[in-house]
Amino acid sequence: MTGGPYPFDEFEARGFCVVPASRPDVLDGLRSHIWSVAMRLVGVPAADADSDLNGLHRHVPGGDEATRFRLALTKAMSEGYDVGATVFNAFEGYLSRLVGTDVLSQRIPNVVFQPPGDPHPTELHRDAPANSPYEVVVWLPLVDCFGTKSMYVLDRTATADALEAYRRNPGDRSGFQSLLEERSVQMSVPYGSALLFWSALFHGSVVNREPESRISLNTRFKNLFAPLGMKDPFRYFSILHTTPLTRMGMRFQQDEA
Amino acid sequence: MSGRVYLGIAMEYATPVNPEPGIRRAPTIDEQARALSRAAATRGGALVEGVVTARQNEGIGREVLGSLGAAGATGAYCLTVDVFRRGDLIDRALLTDVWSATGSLGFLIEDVHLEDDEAFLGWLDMVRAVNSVRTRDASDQWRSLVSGGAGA
Repeated sequence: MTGGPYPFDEFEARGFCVVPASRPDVLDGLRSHIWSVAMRLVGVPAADADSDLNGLHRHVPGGDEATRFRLALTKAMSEGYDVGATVFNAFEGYLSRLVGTDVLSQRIPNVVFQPPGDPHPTELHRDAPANSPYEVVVWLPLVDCFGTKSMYVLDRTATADALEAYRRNPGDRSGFQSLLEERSVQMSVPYGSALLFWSALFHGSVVNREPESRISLNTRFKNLFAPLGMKDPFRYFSILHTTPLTRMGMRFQQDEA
Repeated sequence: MSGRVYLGIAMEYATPVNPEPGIRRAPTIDEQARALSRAAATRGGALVEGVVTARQNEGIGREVLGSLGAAGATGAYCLTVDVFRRGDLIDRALLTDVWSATGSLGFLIEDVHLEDDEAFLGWLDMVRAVNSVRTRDASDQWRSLVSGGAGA
C-alpha cells in the first residue's frame, strides 16, 4: 500500500497530513487540464504550467474579476472531466485508507484563486458541522504554496481548545485571535502533494503577500455508508466507487427487500 | 431537444425560513413553478400548467402517478429529491414508479437529470445508501454505539 503508516498516525493525532501524490502522472494530467482551461479563459496562450499559474494575477488582478474567473474555471474544468475522481486517483493510496473503497466524492470540487494582495482570504471556519465529521478534505495546490500564499489549520487539540475558549468567552475576540495566531499551523505544500485534513478542523487563509498567485482545489470524500452531515447528500456528493460486494448487496436489496 | 412534457413537483416547506444556508426564505410555489418551467425549457421540453405539491417531510403521495397520466406527462421535474422524502426516508418505490411511468426525472436543486435506466439505477443506489444511513443514524443502537454505550 502506498503511503506507509506514518501519515495516518499523524492524521489521527493532528487531524491533517501532507502527502505526495501516489500517482504523480495522474496529478500532472489534472494540472495540465486545469492549466489549459485557465489559460483559455484568460485568453492567453499556454507556455509553462508553473509560471503561467503562478502568474495568473497578471491577467486576473483581483476583486470581482477574480471571483468571476474562479467561478468560470470551477465550471469549465468539470465539463466532460471528472475532477473529483482524478483527485482521488492521484491520492488513492492514502484516501482509500481513510474513507475505504465505497466512496462518495464531492460533485464539483472548489477552486480557490488568491492573487497577491487580494483582500478576501478564506475566513476561519470548519466544515463540520454542517458537513459530516466523517469527511476528509483534500486541499490540492496547483502551484507551490508556502507562507501567506498557503493556508493554515488548527490541529485537533488546538481546534478543541479554540472551541472551548469560545464557549467560555464568546465575546473575547482578542483572546480568540491570540489563540489562533499562536496555535495555527501555516502549511507548506509543494505542487505534487496535497494536504489531507479532517472536516472538523478550523482552517482558513490570510492575505497572500507573496508575489505569486495561489491557485488550489479543495474537495471532499467520505465513505458511502458513513453518517451524513446536514448538507443535502444528493446535491453535494455522488458515488465514485463501490466494491463488487456492495453492488451485489445493493442488487439483492433491490430484488428481494 | 427532448420535446418532453414535464409534470412539475414543488415543495411546500414546513417553515418559511431558509432551506439552504445563505438563503433568507423558502421559495414560494409560484417561484418554484417558474424555476421548474425554465428548467424544463432548458431541456427542450415544457412544463404542464399547474404543479403538484409535496409537503416537506411528508412527501408526494402515490396520486402523483394519476396526475402524470392525466397530464399526459412524459417526464417529471421536481424541485428536489426531498419531494419523495417521508421523514428520514426517500420513498424508493414511488420514485421507481414515477421513473417507470416517465423515463425522465429532473431534480432542480440537486442539478440532476436522469434520462436512461442505467443512470437512474446508479442514482437509485445513492438513494438506497442514503436511506440506509439515515435509518441507522436515527436508531438507538447507533446512538449507543457512537456514544460508547453498552450497545457498542
